[in-house]
Amino acid sequence: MKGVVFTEFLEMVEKQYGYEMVDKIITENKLSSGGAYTSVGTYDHGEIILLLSSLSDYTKEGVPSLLKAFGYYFFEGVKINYPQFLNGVNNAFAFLESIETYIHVEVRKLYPDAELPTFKTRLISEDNLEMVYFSERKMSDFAEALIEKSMEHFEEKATIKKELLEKDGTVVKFIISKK
Amino acid sequence: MEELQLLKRKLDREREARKQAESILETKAMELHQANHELIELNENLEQAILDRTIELEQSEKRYRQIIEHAEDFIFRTDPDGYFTYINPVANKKLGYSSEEVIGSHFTKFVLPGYADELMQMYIDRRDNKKVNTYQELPIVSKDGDITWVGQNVQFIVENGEIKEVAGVARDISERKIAEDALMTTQLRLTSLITNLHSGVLVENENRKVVLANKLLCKLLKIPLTPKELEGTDCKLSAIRSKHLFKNPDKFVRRIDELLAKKEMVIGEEVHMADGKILERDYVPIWDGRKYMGHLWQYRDITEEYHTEEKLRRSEEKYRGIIENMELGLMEVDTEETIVKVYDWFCGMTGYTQEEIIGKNAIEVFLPEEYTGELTDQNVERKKGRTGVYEVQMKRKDGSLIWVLISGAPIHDDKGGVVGSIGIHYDITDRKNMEHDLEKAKQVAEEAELAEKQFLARMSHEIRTPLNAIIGMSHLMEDTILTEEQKDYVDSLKSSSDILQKLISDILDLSKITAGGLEVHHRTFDLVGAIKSLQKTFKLKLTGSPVTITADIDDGIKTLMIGDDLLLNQILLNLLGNAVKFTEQGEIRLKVEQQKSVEEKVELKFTVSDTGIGISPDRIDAIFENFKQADNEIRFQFGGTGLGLAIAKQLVELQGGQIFVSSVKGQGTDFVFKIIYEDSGQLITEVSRKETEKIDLNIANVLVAEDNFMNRKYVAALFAKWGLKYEFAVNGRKAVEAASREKFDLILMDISMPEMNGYDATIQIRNTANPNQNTPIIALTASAMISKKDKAYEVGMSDYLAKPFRPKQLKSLIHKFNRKDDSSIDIDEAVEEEGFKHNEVLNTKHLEYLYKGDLDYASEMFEIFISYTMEEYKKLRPLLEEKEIEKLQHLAHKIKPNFSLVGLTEVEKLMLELEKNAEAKISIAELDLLLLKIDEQVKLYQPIIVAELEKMKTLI
Repeated sequence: MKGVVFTEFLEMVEKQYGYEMVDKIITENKLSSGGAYTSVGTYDHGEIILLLSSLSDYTKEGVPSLLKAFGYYFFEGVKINYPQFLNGVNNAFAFLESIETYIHVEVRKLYPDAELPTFKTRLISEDNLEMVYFSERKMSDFAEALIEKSMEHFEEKATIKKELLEKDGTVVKFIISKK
Repeated sequence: MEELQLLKRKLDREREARKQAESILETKAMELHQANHELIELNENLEQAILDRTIELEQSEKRYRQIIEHAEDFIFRTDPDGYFTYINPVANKKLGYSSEEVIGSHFTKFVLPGYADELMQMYIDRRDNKKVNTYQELPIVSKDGDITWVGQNVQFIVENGEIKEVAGVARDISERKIAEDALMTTQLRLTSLITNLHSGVLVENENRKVVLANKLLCKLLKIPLTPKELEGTDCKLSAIRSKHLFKNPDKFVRRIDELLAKKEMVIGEEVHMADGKILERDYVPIWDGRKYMGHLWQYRDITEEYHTEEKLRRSEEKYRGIIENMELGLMEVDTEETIVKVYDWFCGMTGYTQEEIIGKNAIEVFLPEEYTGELTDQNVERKKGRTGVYEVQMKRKDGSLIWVLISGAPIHDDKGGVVGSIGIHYDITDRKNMEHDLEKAKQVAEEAELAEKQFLARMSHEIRTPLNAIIGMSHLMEDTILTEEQKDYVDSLKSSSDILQKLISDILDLSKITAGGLEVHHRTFDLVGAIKSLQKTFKLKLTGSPVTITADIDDGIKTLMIGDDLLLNQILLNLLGNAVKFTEQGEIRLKVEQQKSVEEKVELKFTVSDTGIGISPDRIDAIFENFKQADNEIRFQFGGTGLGLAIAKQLVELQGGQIFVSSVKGQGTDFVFKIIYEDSGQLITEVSRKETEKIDLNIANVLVAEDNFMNRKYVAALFAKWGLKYEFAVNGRKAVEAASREKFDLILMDISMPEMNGYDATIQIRNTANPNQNTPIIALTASAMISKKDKAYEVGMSDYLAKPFRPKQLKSLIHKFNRKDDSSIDIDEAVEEEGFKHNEVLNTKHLEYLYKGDLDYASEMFEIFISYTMEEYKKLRPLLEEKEIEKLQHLAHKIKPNFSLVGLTEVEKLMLELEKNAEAKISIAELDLLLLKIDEQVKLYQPIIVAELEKMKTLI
């Protein structure tokens, strides 16, 4: 998993709960990286699960809601750090369709070892987009937050219907319908 | 404290993260550095490539420069005013000026004066009008005055709107110019040729516009325009306009359309015009490769030729019609025998139609294979331009054959060369068939004739055998004791059978004469004696008759004659017999006169005249014909066969003589004949005197080469009697062996011997070293033929003795070769044993001659004849049946002399005849007849010989 996910996550934890919380969730987990992350590095994705799980214990907040919150936070970071991805398109559906065909392609150029989820998009009608998520990380909540933030960014209103195609959450279908 | 710890941990984590990031960035930086390095290298490679390409370009430029320097074209540059600044070496060479001489000079200096001003004007004009590229052709003059036509491309090089320089490339186009001039000349010539042609010519282009026409065309087609005016006009309309000029206007137009549609050349088409003129038209399409360029029409006025040809054709048709009506088949072929033309009658003859055979090979179609040789010979003659007539068979279409008489003549072209031949065929099948039938008929007739002869001979033989028995028996009966009455009967029997025998012998003689089987034998004979004895014989016959017979012999005949006395005897017998028959009283005269004598030839005239009944003039010519007598009444009154005179005439003629008859009816007849004999020169009296038998010989030792046992016995007896020593050799080879071994004083050599004949033996003895090379050799042969005699001398023999010979003949020959006449051999003449007489049926005279009464010797010979000769004789018939004619001939020759040794001289003659006929290879049938005749004789005489031997034995 890309280091940027860890740095953004710990940054959000530090902002909302203070560095003590950061130190607590790092210290109590025996992490092979030792909790020192850089955005250009690559780390075992199990570490983010351990960190999320510890945070959930302390804050009494569920992991899905934490992941969602992290998604909102991460999108804001993308807007600031990688504005070129958002500037290239002028609507949300176009942006969502470009994740697999453009953004992930560019990411792999920079980081050939990056492990990315796969999206299959299908435009059902002018206002309805089907988007299927495939990932062993089972982080569809994170993805849902990003979809919501995308709609919001392009100032489009839509309802997002989520359906687990695999019970373990490795394959999830989103139907995005514009209002 | 806690907070410090926390911050420290935070710091540691930050430091750790930074180090991680630095390490990652360093790796990335290294990667970048590597990538940069590679880019630099790539850049350097590119520079090298550019360098290489630059060098290449330079080389290529150099090459182009070389091309320019060595180009065939003139390359030059001038300044804007036309002064040369550069010329290439080719231009130097062509012009003969150096670069220094040219550069700085104005171009007009090198142009042929007449063209310079014009060119200058053009140059200025183009320069001022800024025409960048120009092309012109001009003649230039070299330093030594030669003119070269060049075509040049000139380019003005312009910079900033101003002409900076002029560049030019000029090419030598002299050859093209010459070709163009030549083409122009040709065109001019062709045009003038067409204009003046004796035919109307019209050339149209592919759109049927007139390109060229001549005056004659306008005249022929009555076009009211000049050829020049006609050019460019449309022909589609003119054809329609002119069509009324033609006899069949629509056909004319239609035909033109047809020709144009087909676009194929048509030559010599006849076009008839309304005014009676006849034109000949050629249509020639013009093609440039596959592109149709138009066509040419040509019209010729052939009215005159047409009428001449028409006349000729009619005349030819007329004669052909005549020949065809003569039932002659005409066929024309070329030199390869390909049929070019056939006529109706010929088709009728052969059963083919014209279409079936034209173009085919005449030999293959008509000629049976066996005649190809004949035809080849004929064709050789035809090619030499000769005619010929020959007969061959031809195959008809239905396969049947006809005979034709062909008269062939060569066909010539107008240069006189042979281009083929014409054959006139006349059907001669009927004639040929008739010829064939005739030949068949002739063959049948000939066969019938031969059969008739055979029948005649056979019948005669069949009659003779019993007749001889009758004669023999009547002779025997005469010797018995008979009453007067019986004697009369026997006399009557004898005379009747004699007549019958005479008749049969006449018939046989005649058939032999007609068949050419009778030969003339030349012998020395006493003519006077023969005539006298005839006269005496007839005188005896006419005893008691009122007819007398006289003989009147020319006193000039004092010598012996050489000729055939037997034939003469027979002629005279027949004539005298005839005279006796028809003369009741008066005289029969036999007269012999010596007519003329040239060298040894003597012509004698014999006349037999009588005072008999004579012959009427109208019958006189018939009397010499076979079986014809003066008339039927004569036959009735006098009997006879009518053959006697016919035989006499033939025998006279056989000896080269002539016979005539003259007669007065009721007064008598004269027969006159003339024969030429050879005078032997021997006086008659000398011969008649008996010579002393004693001769003196110094010849002591004789070699006798003889294969015949009987002959050896005979010679042995004589030599023993004469006291001569001798040795025998049984064939030629043995004789040669003996001759090389011992010297002999004389050699007697039989000619016909087995293993080696006498000729070959003589040649060997004469031509090889041996003691007898010069010993006299006497040929012994049964044949008296001159040719054999000549041959004997030719091979080196010294003399010749014909068998059978008498002791006296042999003795005189030995005497001839006796070198010392003083020494003498006494030959003891045996005194004749008086009291023994040989049977009269045998040749007693000959027997007495041979044996002189020596019965001991004679009986020995008879004994040998019975035991040996008769046995050998029996072998003749099987040989004939097996058709071994050569062996038959040989055996006949061998046993032949033995017959005379027992007194059968007549049989010997027959044997000689058999031998000769066998040698002449006459037909088996005829040999059979002859042998039958001999058989009959032998059968008759054999018991007599046996009886004779017994009789002799009782006396010894």
